[in-house]
Amino acid sequence: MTLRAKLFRYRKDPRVIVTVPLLILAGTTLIYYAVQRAKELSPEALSSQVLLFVLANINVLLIFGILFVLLRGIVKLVLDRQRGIIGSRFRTKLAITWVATSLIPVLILFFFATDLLRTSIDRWFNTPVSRILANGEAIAQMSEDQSAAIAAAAAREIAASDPSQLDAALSHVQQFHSVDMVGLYRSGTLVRVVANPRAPIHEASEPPKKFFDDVAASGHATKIDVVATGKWIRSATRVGATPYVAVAGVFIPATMSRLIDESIVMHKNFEQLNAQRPTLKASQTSLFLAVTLAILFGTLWTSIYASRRITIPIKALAEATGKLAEGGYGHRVAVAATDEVGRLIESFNDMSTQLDQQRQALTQTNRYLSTVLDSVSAGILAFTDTFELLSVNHAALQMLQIEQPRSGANLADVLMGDLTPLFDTLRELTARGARAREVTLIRGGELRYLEVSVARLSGGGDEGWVVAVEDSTSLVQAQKLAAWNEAARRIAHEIKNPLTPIQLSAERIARKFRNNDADTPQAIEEGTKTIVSEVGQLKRMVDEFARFARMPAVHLRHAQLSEILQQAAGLYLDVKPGVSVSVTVQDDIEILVDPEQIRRAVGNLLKNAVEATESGEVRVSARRAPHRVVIEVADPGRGVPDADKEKLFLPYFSTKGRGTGLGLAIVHRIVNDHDGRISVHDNHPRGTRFEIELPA
Amino acid sequence: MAHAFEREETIKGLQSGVPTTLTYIVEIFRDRPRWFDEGIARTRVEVIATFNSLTREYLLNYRRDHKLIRSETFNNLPALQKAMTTIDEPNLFDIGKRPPYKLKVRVKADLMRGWLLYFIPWEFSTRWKAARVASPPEPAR
Repeated sequence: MTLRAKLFRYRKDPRVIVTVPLLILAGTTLIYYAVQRAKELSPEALSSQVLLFVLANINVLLIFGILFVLLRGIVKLVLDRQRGIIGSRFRTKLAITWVATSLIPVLILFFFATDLLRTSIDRWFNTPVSRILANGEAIAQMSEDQSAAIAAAAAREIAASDPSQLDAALSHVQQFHSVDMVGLYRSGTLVRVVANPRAPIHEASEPPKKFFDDVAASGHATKIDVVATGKWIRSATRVGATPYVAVAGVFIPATMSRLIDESIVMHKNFEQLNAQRPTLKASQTSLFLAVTLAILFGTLWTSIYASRRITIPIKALAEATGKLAEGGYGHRVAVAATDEVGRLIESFNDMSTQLDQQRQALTQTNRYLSTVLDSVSAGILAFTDTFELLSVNHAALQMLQIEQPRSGANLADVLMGDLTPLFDTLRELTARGARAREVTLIRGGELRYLEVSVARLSGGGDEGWVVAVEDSTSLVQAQKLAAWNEAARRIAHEIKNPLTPIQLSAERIARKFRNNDADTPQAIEEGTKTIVSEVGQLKRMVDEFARFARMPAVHLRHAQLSEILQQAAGLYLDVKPGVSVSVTVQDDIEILVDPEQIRRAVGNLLKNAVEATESGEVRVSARRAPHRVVIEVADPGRGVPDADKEKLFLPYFSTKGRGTGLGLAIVHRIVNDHDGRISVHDNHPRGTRFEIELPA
Repeated sequence: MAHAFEREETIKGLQSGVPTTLTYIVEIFRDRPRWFDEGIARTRVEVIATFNSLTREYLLNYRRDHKLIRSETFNNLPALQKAMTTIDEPNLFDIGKRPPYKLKVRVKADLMRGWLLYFIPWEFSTRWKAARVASPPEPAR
């Protein structure tokens, strides 16, 4: 295992995570203890260079530690943000908030505390205590100075004595000045001495050479010696030009000298402390700084670590959400957490599981629907509003004789060539919102009739369309055959009707002419007239049939419906006495139709209505209905029997006993060409009402 | 060294018994024109004065390269100040048989310590002083 791996393992170890803050806490406590002990330390210890060195190094180490942790955290956060790692922004905010909330109070506390401390230290040296200590030292020194002055006076008196009577002078001076010793030195060697027997003269060491050098240089010198039982203050004076030096000493016993020394030492200690005031402030500030930095280090480390720990489940959750969005249903977050985030993870895992189950159910349903669609005989196509193919079933592929297109292929590319009419029809139907249309196309050299039904894909919105295509070629062919049979029967019947008078007229003329009857010319004239009349009838019938067969294609354009209906009704105003025609229609109905053909269809209906009405009003009206426009033509005529209503729109069916029976068939065809519907109803109280529904 | 005891705090500190140290760092180089000078030797001289308030004497310790060379006592301040600010040390360096020409001496005295922001130590020092030294006279044969 590499060192990095080991460190990484230890970094994740909860024992380490607990131990490190505890160590920091212990260090802080130790520093606090040191601060508490500081009051027991001497000024030298407090201003010790070693202590300051240690504190400075601790502070430097802590500062570098803080900078390292901070910079490392910042670099990692920046890299995470650059890599787009989820949770890095949240972690940044969290860490900044925690650091700020700990850094600001700690720093404020540090600055206030150190300022208070420095002010307090300054105040120590401005109290009456300093003056008392100074006065004490002055009194003590004055006492010593007084003793030194007595000794100096005694030494000077000895030096001024007659050299021949020095012995007497020594005794006199010792007694007169009450000094504890007087003596004479020659070249640093004691030659004569007189001392107080109670003074410990033996404890006084011999003055050093420098003492006598000073006397030689300046004429006099003073020296203080501390001995076991007290203090000796000795003063020396050069004896004229001789090599002798007169020395007088005053002994201050320990009981007194201790008091003097204590006064002096206490004030000097105080002065030392005062002199080292900046260093003292520095040591105290360094202690505070060390504590502050230790707290900051711990806070910073804990903040960064905690922010990382907190964002782990959030990051895992975000990553799992991303996987779910990419279709990874059933993906679970494996991070354990016991707080609210843990509940969120649990909910997410439940949601993911449910989504997976629903997806499986949906897949099963889709498979089932695909099976159903493939088993139905009708061709089913689904496509979007932009004609992107969504699905196509097997029946449609067979019906249209096309290969399985790829999903998302454009319908125009699939329905091309012979199938282009089907695509055009679908485009027209979807554009107009119409529902059904019959499409004729040639596929594989054969004429095919397809019934196309279009419906909006369920679910609302504009998601697309579903188309059902049914091959009605056989049905249409059968219907056509039946229609042709019916047409042939009716044509035969219609042709037979005029043929009978023609035949009878021709036979009558022939009989008259054969019998040479007297009324032969009259019979010829009458017969000829009849034959011409019936032939004319035959001709009209053939013309109508030709017109029905040559129905022009529909040319759609936007037109005002009121205008169309007014024009159609205008042809039948005042045509029949007692019969009036009225038009009721809103002005703002605009409709996409072939105006000529709609006018012709309404005209045909009006023609029948006027003919069927003896007296009264024929009403033409139009109104809007959901997704369509309804045109009604109602008359108060004799009405249509229910039995005839089914056959009313068949070609050559007529209830009038005259005419071709193509009028309503033409109307029916025109309406069909407009994807509309025509129906016949009884009018109330009497008569007939035709209703045309056109898509709007 | 001049102006070492101009500050009242220095005198007061000294007389309160705080050990007062002047540190002299003496370096000797061989001058090399248009190139870095060649360092030959370096020594550190410390003069530490401590006032004994009971005997009213100043003890002056003279240390070289962290070794005590000598101690002296002074009864008056001016004599002490003169002893502290004057380095009179013959044979400070042994430069062996090097040519003694073009030698430079630099002296630095560390006076006392100050504090930046109350906790960052800041040494008060003189600038480096350089002086050419004359070649010693050839010994008479």
